[in-house]
Amino acid sequence: MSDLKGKAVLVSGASTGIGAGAARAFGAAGARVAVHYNSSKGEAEQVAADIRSAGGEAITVGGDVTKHDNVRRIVGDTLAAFGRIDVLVNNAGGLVKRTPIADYTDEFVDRVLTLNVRQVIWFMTEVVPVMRRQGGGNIVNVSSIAARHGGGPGSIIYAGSKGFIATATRGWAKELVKDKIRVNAVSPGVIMTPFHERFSTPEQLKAMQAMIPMDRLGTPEECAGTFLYLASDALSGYVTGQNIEVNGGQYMP
Amino acid sequence: MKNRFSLEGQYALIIGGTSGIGREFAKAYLEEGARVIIAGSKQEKLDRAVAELKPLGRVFGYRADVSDLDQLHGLVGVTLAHHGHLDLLVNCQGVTRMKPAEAFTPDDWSHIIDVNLRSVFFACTEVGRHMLGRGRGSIINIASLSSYRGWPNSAIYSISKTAIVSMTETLATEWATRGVRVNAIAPGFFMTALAAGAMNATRRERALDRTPMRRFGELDELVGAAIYLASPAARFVTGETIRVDGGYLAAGL
Repeated sequence: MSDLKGKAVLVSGASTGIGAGAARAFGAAGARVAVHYNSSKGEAEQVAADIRSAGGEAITVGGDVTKHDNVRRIVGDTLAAFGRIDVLVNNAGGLVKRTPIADYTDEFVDRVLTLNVRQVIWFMTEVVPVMRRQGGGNIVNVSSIAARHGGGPGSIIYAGSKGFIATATRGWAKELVKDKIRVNAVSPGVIMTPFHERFSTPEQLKAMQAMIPMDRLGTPEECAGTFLYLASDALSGYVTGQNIEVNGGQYMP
Repeated sequence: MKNRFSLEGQYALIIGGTSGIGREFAKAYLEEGARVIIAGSKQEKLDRAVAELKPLGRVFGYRADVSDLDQLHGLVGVTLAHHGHLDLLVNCQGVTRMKPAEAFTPDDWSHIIDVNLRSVFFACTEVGRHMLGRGRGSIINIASLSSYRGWPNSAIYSISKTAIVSMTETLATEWATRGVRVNAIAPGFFMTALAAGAMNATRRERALDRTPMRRFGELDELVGAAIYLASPAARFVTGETIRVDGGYLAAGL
């Protein structure tokens, strides 16, 4: 994984949870990391500080990714700092709210789809031309176990949006293969992050744990290695269009 | 820099480690700091592989024809007696015969199934018992693109490789809480001796047409997956099959 040294990596949603774990791991591998955040500026600064104190290079870039202009600016700020983007980690996303069919509103559905689908498309349209100019690059999306099993209570639109990510990962992988851009996805299971602190009750988490063969929830640290594996040409140069499940055996291929 | 992919101090048994994929894995594991025990059925090939790998680290070879379960049992016994324990098991043994399905004989069935399926299952359980006793271990099996797609003239091979995925998932589920992870790698087209012998020019051309990267894999592109799955980077990953296929399975047509 020495080939990640000096690479410019943009991780969206990197202030907490899985994104923060990935950003720290890229930093520890010697990459230059753009730590993107939306509302958690303090946490993002901490992630960047941790990377720097470990000898790495990091910047923070703020912005609500549900606005196309902001995505443009986040990519622009990253380019201004690093001059290139070798690895894009499309980690930002969220469940918004557990909502049954009876309570769907257009606003709710738009919000979930913008936060999990549209913004990823915007990152693709902004970053792919950059990678093409550079002569290559690497994109790691974040899908979810929800993409496979349809989602837990009230999270079906979210699950469907992650299904989009899994499908588009395969399609984009094919479209971009000639540009020497690999596209893969990490598909986390139930990982202990602010996501679940916010959207899942202790009872729901207990029920989820009961479905996991390892009989425990995962940690962001346990997802980090998979991001490094997929981003490293030395480790996974012949891998594209794949979704790797990191879920303690909860849902297998 | 913390190396999540380090195999320092790990003891690995690689069955079928004398040639092709297995020998490449042995090389990589030695370079990552593991003690590597390779097993193969032909003494001469084994001696050659051990001599070749010796400069890289601590490598040991044992002759065993694992299609004979007594020899497999002996191999595991001798390995544990000489080395004390095993952290990693990689099942790379594999054979094939190609014919139209209606031409296969019971002898073909035994020849392929005894190596590709029966020996893998009992290697998993023999070594698995030892690993479960220690509460730790990681097993990697070799699946195939034919685990996922129908292939002409290789019915028995394809059946064996589909069963490998099922075996991997079942054992992963049973052993998940007991510290033993079980995963698989599904290689795309790599021109090992086995694949080269099985594929004529037309078949190779068709394989390339269907592989988005439009090239065969290089063996060193497969080792990253074997290092990743064996290492702490994948400690929440079990029951997963990593496809290293140049995008083959992402391609619809």
